Amino acid sequence: MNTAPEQPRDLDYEAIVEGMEAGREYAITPAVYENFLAAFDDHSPIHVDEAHARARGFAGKVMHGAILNGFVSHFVGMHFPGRRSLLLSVDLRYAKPSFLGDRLNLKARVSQKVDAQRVIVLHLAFHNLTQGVIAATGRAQVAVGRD
Amino acid sequence: MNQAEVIARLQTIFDDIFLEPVKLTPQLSATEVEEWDSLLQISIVVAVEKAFGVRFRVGEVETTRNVGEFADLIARRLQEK
Repeated sequence: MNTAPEQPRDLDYEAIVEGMEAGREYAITPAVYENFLAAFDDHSPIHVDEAHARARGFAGKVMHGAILNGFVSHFVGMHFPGRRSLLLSVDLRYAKPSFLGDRLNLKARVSQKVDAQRVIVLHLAFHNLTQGVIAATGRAQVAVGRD
Repeated sequence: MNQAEVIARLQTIFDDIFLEPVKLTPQLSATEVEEWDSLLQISIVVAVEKAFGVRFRVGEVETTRNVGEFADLIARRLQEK
């Protein structure tokens, strides 16, 4: 069965206000993990060797932090604000490791609107729903075009 | 806040944003600093609006030709608060 590709949302810059919040759930599925490995070839043992990761005190293979950056890219481009957006910068601090299969809820709050540049600043927080911890926090700057 | 005071505060903002140190003077313009491109300009405006608590109008930052004129614009916005 074919599944129609996801369509990006379309939020006007003018409809965005400071303090507005949005969120979306993501999962580090085997497909996400394996495609990330295939695309970027980071096979450092902490990410691919279960025994190595456990010997370093982790519960399993540590997922690449940059996978979360990929979720931010999806969130901004497809969900909030959607198709008019251009991600200018992302600054994430990885507070706790995530593991294969973890579910994460990304919450974003518009902390600043800069009308002169049509740019919004998002404060970001990844809540790891599987582990019950904050996985990462940070901020992103997003330009919002006119169409 | 006068131009010199604004530039002194701008210096701390620029120190946080630029990878290579930039010594701000009233005469310095973006064209003299390799790293100071249009994307970095956005980060500067975002940081300045937050740090000074001011808002710029569309296009007015682009009319300033150097750090001194930018500082004067910030000072005017501060006076309007």
